[in-house]
Amino acid sequence: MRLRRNILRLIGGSMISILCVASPAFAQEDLAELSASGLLNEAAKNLAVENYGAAIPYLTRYLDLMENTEDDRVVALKQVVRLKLGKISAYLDDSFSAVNYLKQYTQTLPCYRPREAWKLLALNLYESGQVELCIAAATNALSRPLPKGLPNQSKAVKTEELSKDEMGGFTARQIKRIEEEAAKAGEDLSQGISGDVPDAEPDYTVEELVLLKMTLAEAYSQLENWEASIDPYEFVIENASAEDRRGYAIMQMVNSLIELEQFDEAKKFIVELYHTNARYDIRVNMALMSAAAALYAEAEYDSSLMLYRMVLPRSNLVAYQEDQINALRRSAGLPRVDIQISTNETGRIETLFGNKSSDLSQTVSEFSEGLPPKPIALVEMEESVGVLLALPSYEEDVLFRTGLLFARAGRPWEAVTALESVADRDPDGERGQEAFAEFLMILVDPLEKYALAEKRGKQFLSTYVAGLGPRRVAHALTRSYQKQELWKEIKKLLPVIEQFASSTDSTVLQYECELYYMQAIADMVLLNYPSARAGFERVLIDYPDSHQQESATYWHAMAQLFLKNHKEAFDEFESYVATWPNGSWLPSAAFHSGVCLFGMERYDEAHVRFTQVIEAWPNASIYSDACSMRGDLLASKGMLNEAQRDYEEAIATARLPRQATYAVFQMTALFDLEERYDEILVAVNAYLDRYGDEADVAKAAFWIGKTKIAQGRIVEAVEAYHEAIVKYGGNIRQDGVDLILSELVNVSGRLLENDEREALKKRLRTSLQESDNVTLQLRLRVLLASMEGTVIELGKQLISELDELEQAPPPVLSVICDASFEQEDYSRAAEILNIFQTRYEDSDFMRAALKLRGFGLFSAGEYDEALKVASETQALYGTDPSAVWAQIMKGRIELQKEEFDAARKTFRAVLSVREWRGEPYAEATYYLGQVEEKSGDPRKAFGWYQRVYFQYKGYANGYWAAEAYLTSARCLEQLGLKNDQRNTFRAMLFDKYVNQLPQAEEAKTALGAAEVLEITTLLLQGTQTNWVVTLDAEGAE
Amino acid sequence: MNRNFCILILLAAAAFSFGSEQTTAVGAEGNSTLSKSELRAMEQQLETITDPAARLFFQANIERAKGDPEQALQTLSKLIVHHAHSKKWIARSELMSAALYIQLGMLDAADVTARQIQALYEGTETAEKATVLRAEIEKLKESVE
Repeated sequence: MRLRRNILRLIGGSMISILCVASPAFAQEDLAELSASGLLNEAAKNLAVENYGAAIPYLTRYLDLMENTEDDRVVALKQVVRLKLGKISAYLDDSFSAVNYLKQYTQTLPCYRPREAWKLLALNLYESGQVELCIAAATNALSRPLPKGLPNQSKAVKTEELSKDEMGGFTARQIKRIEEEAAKAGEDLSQGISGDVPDAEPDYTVEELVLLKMTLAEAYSQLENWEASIDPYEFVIENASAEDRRGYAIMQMVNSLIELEQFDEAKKFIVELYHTNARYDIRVNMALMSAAAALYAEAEYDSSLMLYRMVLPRSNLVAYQEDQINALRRSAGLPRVDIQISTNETGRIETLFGNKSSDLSQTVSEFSEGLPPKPIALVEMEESVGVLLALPSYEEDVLFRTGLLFARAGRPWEAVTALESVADRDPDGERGQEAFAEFLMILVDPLEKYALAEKRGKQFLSTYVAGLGPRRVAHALTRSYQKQELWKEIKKLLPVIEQFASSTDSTVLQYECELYYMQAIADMVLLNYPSARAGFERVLIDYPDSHQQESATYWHAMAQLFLKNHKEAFDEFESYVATWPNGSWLPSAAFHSGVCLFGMERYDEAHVRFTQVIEAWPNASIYSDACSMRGDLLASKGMLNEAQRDYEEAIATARLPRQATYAVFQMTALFDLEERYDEILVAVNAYLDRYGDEADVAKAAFWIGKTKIAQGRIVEAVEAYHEAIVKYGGNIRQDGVDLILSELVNVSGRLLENDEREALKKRLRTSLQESDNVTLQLRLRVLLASMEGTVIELGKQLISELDELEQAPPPVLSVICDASFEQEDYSRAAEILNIFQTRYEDSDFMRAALKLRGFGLFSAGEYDEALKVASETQALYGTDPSAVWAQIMKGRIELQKEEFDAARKTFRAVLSVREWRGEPYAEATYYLGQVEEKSGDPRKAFGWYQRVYFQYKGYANGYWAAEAYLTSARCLEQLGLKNDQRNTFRAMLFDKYVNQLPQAEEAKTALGAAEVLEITTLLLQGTQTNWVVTLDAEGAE
Repeated sequence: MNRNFCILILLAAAAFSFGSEQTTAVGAEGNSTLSKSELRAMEQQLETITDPAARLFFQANIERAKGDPEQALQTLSKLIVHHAHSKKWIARSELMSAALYIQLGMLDAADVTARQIQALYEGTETAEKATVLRAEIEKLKESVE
């Protein structure tokens, strides 16, 4: 029975196949009236003439009709129908229906074509966006599923075993022919429908595998399962025959590897892509840009650059596509075309394909000419060109990014070419200006084309004042000037910056803040501390909470410190420390607050602060400075051993030559106090060995010379000094040379014989003649004048010679000050003192500048300012004889203000300082007389005045004694002691120290000609007198 | 006979003008040592070249031969940036760019360029030349240090 059933099935199926092949196509009949076989028949007829869509209703109706039929044969037929419907739906791009039928097919037995079914299912699941199911289907397909029949399904029929009835009137030979014909028929849509068990399903072809793997890989990519996508993409790359598919797969592989951050692997595939024509694929171009952007974001500049350079401009892509299109058209028997672009009435860009032979302004429909229909591939290609041309422009963006990448990758000339190109094409636009700013930055660094950058930058700034562009360009120019250390040029940009149109954009404001910050820094470098302070204030006030908030706060405090506003600077440093407990300037702020305490003479607190810094930040750059400062404090307290330890630590940990320089020479001064000359030599030579050309060699030469002098090696020392002056004296910053000048004057005067001194002067004059360095010449002139006692004359010459004083080293400035002082010319006093305070604040030669300034202020009646200068002098020089003027000036100011008690105390203090013996005593005693006189006690005043001409007539060429004679006479007049007054005048004229001075004229006038003659005659006769006027009661103490 | 002879002449002339764009006076990476006559010939030839990439390459060669490597590099950069897809000229331009960077003492830029050439043309003669350049750069860097 079963056998019979099988034979009947075979014969019936074959008959249907034959009938389907043989029967002509009929018109569609009412589906409901058709039998099952009729439905299959009609479907088969439509399939045979490739009218696939028309076959669908028959096939679906068959399935509905046979829904509940369990007969094996029918079940098998239904499966065939399902597979057919799946294939037809796929062909007609109805993915959803295809998926539906194919799913049913794969989930139902018998399933004789599982591979084909799973393959189609996977493709259509992808098309319909069911990506996860697609993956499952593709995986199933690739597992090479085997066909599955129904349970207990019989095998092939043996015709010799069939009865006559079972053979249905066919002979054995006829049945065999039917079987062969059924077996030969291929598996395509046009094939008839048979429920017979087909032959074993063939394995996938390479192309099918490529398609499956591609689908699988794309599905994984959509789910962002990059790892899983790698293998299938690799398969496609290795096996795809179509170059465009292979190229696309490479591109997708690159994307996956980028996502997996396997940049080295990605780079290998990028290189592979570079050498294919896949670049002409529009999708690949779009994907290239995305991948390039991702690599850029990961700082993989090499790889990103390669990708961007592969992106083709639209014109190239269109040209390539045009060639491809025309190749397809030729093979399809269609005329070639030119691709034209037009804009329709709604403004939408349309791509038109005009025949090459026709007028370019017209397009002709191919179908109106009766041409063959276009292949689908051609239609798709034309559509993709349309999409391409409708895309927004990307070429400028690619060129800009390429420029940036060339710069990042370290190919500056390529970078400037690309960026300049972008800028030239869009000079007014945001992108163009951004490109211009980048272009400028590269010209500055690394190309160092400063002149060109300046020229182009200034041109730009003269045209544009609004937006980010001008700020960025100003920033580039500032950076350029910074690199060249042209700080004054930076300052010239300030008015330009201040003219920029205001903006509220945060990026614009950030750049603006940075520009003003850089301006303030330039002021600091130029030692223009008031402007620097104002500049940092501007940053803090106008750009609150900016990226420079912390630094501007710190530097504002530093500007205060440089302006010697110690209190304000201290408060600001303390505020910084509190606000930024982990700030980058923290160690430095703490150290400088200690410096402020030092400046405020709060030495104990300063000591504590420096110790805190030393303990807290042993690795900070200011550690060495803190050791030196604490060493200074210890030395001032006489703790020399402890001070030495701090200096040695400062030297050992110095990171900069200046740190070591300071500590070394502080320590040598300490050794000098104790006459430890060998240790001086050891320390200085070690310093020179370590720092070589970076050392302060002049200062080292000074100390070495000093040591030699102490050791009695005078000539050697003098020669070494001369050599050092000539070698280093041309450098204005070599203040060690200035020390040598002073020492040489001192040594030559004290220790050299006349002939040695003259020989030295001769050598110095020769050096002067041979030099063409202005600074060295000035130094040598000062040295010679000092040795010859003609400093004032030289000073007067220099006043008229030098309009600009910035090239004058400290000794020269000092000489100018002395000469100016003598002429009572205070016009440049402020300027000179400012130069000292900003450039040479540690120079010993600043004394003369302070004195000139102090007297200048005093003579102008600016007593408070004069007092400040005097106080500063005393703070710096203490009881040094050169600083006594400050004490006396203080007293004179107090006297002017009628602060008599204070003035009395101040002048008395002069008389208690041994170092000030001599003229200062005479002057101070005189002013004590002034104090008493102005406070209304002429008797006391007289006592002081008398002391002056009794005890100090030998000082200052008798000046103070002469003055005192006159003022004492005045006092006697006030007291009504006319006779004593006359005697005082007579004593004055008898006093040889004063009788030739101008003040004597007043005495002569008072006495009259007869008495003057009498005195003169007596003097000529050799008469000496001892006129003494004594007053009763309280006199001079 | 005369007609054949004329055809031959014309063919020879055509071959010459075609071959001129691939003149042997310029090596694969540009020749920096040209005689005056060669230089003149190149300048004359430049007038006849219409391919923009070729023009730039030749111009760069001329500038280099005149002893202006910086200008040559600027000219070459235009080729590299704007004609990156010119297969005929891009490889040799990149090599010449690396050589010019060396000449200008910009060894880091030269190394970057040569490295990119190595990666992009791996397995080819171009990559081998880039390897040679990189070795030269390495030696120069060592001598500077």
